[in-house]
Amino acid sequence: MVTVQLENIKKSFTEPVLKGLNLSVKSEEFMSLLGPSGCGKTTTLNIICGFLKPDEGNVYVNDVVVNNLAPHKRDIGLVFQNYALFPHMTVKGNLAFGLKLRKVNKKEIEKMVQEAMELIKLEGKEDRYPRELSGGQQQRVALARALIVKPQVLLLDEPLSNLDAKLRREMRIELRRIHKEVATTTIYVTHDQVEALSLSDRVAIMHNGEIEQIGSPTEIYQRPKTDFIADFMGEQNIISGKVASVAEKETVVSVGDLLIHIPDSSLEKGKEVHLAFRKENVRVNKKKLSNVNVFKAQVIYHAFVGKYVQYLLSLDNIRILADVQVDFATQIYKEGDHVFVELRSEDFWVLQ
Amino acid sequence: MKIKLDLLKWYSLIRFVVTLLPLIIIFLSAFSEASFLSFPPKGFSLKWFVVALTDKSILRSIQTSLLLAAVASMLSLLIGTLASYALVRYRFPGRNIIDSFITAPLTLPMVGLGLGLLFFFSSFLGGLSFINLVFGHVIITLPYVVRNISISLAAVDKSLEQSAMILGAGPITTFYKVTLPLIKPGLISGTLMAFIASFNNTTISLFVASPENLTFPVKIFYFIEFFPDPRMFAISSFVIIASLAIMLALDRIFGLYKIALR
Ligand SMILES: Nc1ncnc2c1ncn2[C@@H]1O[C@H](COP(=O)(O)OP(=O)(O)OP(=O)(O)O)[C@@H](O)[C@H]1O
Ligand SMILES: [Mg+2]
Repeated sequence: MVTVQLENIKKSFTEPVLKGLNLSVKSEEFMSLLGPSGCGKTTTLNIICGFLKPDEGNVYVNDVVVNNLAPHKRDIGLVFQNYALFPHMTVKGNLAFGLKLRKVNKKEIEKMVQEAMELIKLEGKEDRYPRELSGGQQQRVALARALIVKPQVLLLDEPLSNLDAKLRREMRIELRRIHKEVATTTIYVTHDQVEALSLSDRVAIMHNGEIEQIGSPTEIYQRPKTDFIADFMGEQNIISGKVASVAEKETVVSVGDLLIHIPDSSLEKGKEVHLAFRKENVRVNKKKLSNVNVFKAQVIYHAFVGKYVQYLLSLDNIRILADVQVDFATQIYKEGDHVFVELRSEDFWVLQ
Repeated sequence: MKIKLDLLKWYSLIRFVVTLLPLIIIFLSAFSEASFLSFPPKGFSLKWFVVALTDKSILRSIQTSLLLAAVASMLSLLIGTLASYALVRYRFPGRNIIDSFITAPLTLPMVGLGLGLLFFFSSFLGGLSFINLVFGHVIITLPYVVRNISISLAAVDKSLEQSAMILGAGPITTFYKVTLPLIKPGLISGTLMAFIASFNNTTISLFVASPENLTFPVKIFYFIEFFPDPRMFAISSFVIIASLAIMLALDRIFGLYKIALR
């Protein structure tokens, strides 16, 4: 049972980087910290490790404040983006480093190193120096070096960003497998949304020095709360309008001449709102098949990308993107074609 | 490509000859029979070697110089390691001033420095002693150590030290197990350069070495001024051969050549 908690963390360098960050990681959870470059992810990890002191706020490990504990007493595992393997030590030397400091006896070290080498599937390469390993292999040694001392918490700072796409996919699967096996509470820092979504139990989105949304990968992907997250999680359609009427189960938002029906009933009449919907939820038909949320549109641009066709459509004066799945029977519309765009009311959500 | 290589070869050869020529002249002249400085040497004898190696004052000056160089370079190593660590790893007010202050002696005219030290010692530190001589030499040897170690240290990624710490190593263990082994080449070459700089230094010593603590270069300087006979050639050849031997030995042990190339 190990939890990590950040409470109202503030940190400024020349200007404020963290502005009251709150984060609570559950025991054995794989939590991703996702945000654009320069948003303060590494700074957050440095504060958890104790390399930096927060200007304000508290860091808890297992409900104990560790603010004033030196890094070497925190019992945290850390993997850097550049791996930071000790170049003057062999793989075995690197793995044994933390164990020796913990006064583990020689026989035991030998055994644990062997087990670790099996975990990362590098048996037989104990006596190599880091420079004699490939990037992916170094990466795994760095992971094993952090895990071998059985830390309370594992922190990973963009550990896959120096690898090529194929290796990155493989390492994602490896990381998932290893996390299942060791079940260490993990915080994984990345600016790659695919990594965050595919690895994590929960994802925390960082923006403007705070956590803007936290939730399961599906929640984050399907219902990003704000414009920023919606945009960051991939191209989506965001349109702005005004609440025209509010009824028990249905709210109508007017966007220009269009009336959009959404299920949200917590809005006030007359309020300006941003509506989002995913481009893969847009249906494009030749005929008008329903009366609600069906709009006349014209194709401005289309691109066939294999599994689906990407359309840029104009509805009056707004433009939306649509990804439409196709097979050989589906009609593909061309530039200038008049079509009807259909959306289900539950495909819309309101951004804050 | 071929032409370039040939050019390079000739260049190296000429450099080599130009560097070695004065040494060869000194070496040959040391075997002269005459009692004045002459080239080409007149006759052949080993008498000046005997004279030189039995001259207590010369031997004493060599001893002084060796001891001085050893103490100055070791002190520079100690102070320089700490100073480099602070300068490279931390940002603090006055950092740039301290940095320029340490490296300034490399660019300042040494005569001025020597004169300044002489006045400083005689007015504040009770005249000229061996300790003050060491002090003066550390000022000129420290930059070599700081420069070399700083360069090595800057090449050691901070994340290596942080990795060690988070694995459970305190600051001292981290320095000893990770930082130190990685900056060793810089430590060795810096200290060696400091040793040589101290051993070779004439100007500073000329000002601040008291008669009991005459260093070898100063001794030679006085001898040429007052007793210009080939014993200076003999003793110089002896020292040149000895330093070459030491360099070769060190190269065998540490691989200086490799270190210089890093
Ligand atoms: N030691 C420092 N001194 C001054 N500013 C710093 C320092 N460390 C970080 N910053 C600034 O703080 C901000 C956040 O940096 P941080 O390294 O935490 O970003 P990050 O989210 O990890 O980015 P990336 O994804 O590029 O690694 C940046 O604007 C950076 O310039
Ligand atoms: Mg970072």
